[in-house]
Amino acid sequence: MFFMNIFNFFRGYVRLNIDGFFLERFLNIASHHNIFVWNIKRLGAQRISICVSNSGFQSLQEIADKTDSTVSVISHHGLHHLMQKYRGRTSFAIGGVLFIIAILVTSMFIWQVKIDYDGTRIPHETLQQAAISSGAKVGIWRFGLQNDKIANQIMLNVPEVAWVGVTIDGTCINIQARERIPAPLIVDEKTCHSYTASKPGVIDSIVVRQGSQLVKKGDSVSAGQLLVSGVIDSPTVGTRYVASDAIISAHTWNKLSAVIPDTIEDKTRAGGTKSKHTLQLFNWYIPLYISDKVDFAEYERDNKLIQAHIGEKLYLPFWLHYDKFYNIETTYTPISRDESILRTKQMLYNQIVSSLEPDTQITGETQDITTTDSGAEILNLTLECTENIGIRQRVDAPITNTQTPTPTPTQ
Amino acid sequence: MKIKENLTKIFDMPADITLGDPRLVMISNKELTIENYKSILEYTSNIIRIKINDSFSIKIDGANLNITTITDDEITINGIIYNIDMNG
Repeated sequence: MFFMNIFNFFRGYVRLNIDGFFLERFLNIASHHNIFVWNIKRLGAQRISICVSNSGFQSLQEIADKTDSTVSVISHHGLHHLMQKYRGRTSFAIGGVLFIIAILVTSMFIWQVKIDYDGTRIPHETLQQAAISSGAKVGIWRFGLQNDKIANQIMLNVPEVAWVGVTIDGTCINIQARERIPAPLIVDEKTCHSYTASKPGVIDSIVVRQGSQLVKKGDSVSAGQLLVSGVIDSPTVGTRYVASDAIISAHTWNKLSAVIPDTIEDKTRAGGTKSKHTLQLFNWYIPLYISDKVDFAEYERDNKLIQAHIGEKLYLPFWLHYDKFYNIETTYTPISRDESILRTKQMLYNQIVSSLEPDTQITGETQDITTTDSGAEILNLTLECTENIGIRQRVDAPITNTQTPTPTPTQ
Repeated sequence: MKIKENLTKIFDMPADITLGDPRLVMISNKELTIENYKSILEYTSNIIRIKINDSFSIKIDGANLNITTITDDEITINGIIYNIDMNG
């Protein structure tokens, strides 16, 4: 039926109502005259509706006379009828054709580069830059692109990438990148190294596998102090330079202070907005605003880039630079002292924890409040931790012994 | 005519082609196609009677019966068909 409908659309057809007492006879005569009739529906005791081709319609009147029936046209259908109907709208038709040509031409270029990367080590801008330098950029001729070449070029430009997949869908290039698992850190055994303290603390344990141990458990050390030396002085052998290797754990006290505020700051949108949207057609920018000025003392900005597209694959060279400013009002709400202390403590705690190494253990915390000369209260928060404070530092000296001596743990 | 029938039987030929016997094709109870019919005797939305030859007609009972297509030797009916009476 679908193909018949298409065929009939191109051929053109008429929907008719036939009224009379001998409708069956009408249909029989029509079929015996080889007039193709379809979609016959009974509408009443003396009425049916039928579809008939334009050429068949010419012959029906004679049959209607024979069967004493009345033929009334309900509607015309088909391509010929549509063309007749819209004959006067030439400019509309030209516009439609030009639009289709414009879509066809623009679909021959790339208008969107999508990068799918779920890692954390490579900035998005780096991948974007690598894609551009490999030829995957907006405005380029679509049919000259070689997926393998782009993928290889990106892998060469960004060494952290382990795999790149490039597919071209419509006017969009999809680049999938997966990052390389970093190789384990190789300890340099061929140059002289020493260990110094990264921060002050009290030594909790020290295990020296190579080098000269200069501190022991319970010693208080300051930041930068030499803990294990790669230069070993021996009265019998003389001075040797080795790549020292040690694990030094110490108790440290990490302290931060902040003023306890009486109020909390709250920023809310006060109602006014200002739009500075811009329309981009290829490389032409059309501002959709009159004044460039933003009158708000404080504002919140919401900007995004929206690209026109038909479906998921056909992106077009039209962008809307959405840029909106919201008027912001800052209010200060008084809070109780206990709540203020709690908030300040939480803020300090988070700051200290974010500055610590991941393997650091927090063993205790202390807090005290001091008052300044101006009367402001200061909360001092100290976190007691156990952490590795040894920093391996290179010593500029030729290494003389690379043999690993037996570890000498010291408790 | 008798010779034609005998030949059709002997050579196992399809009777709808050689003798012009009616051929009915029904899809579920929704569509019925009849080939080699003569004329429509009655058409309402509940009953359609089709003349096959001078001594044989078919009566179709149903609901919302429409004639989808009609040509000189083939007619297609759709709707909900309840009953087909071969001596209608």
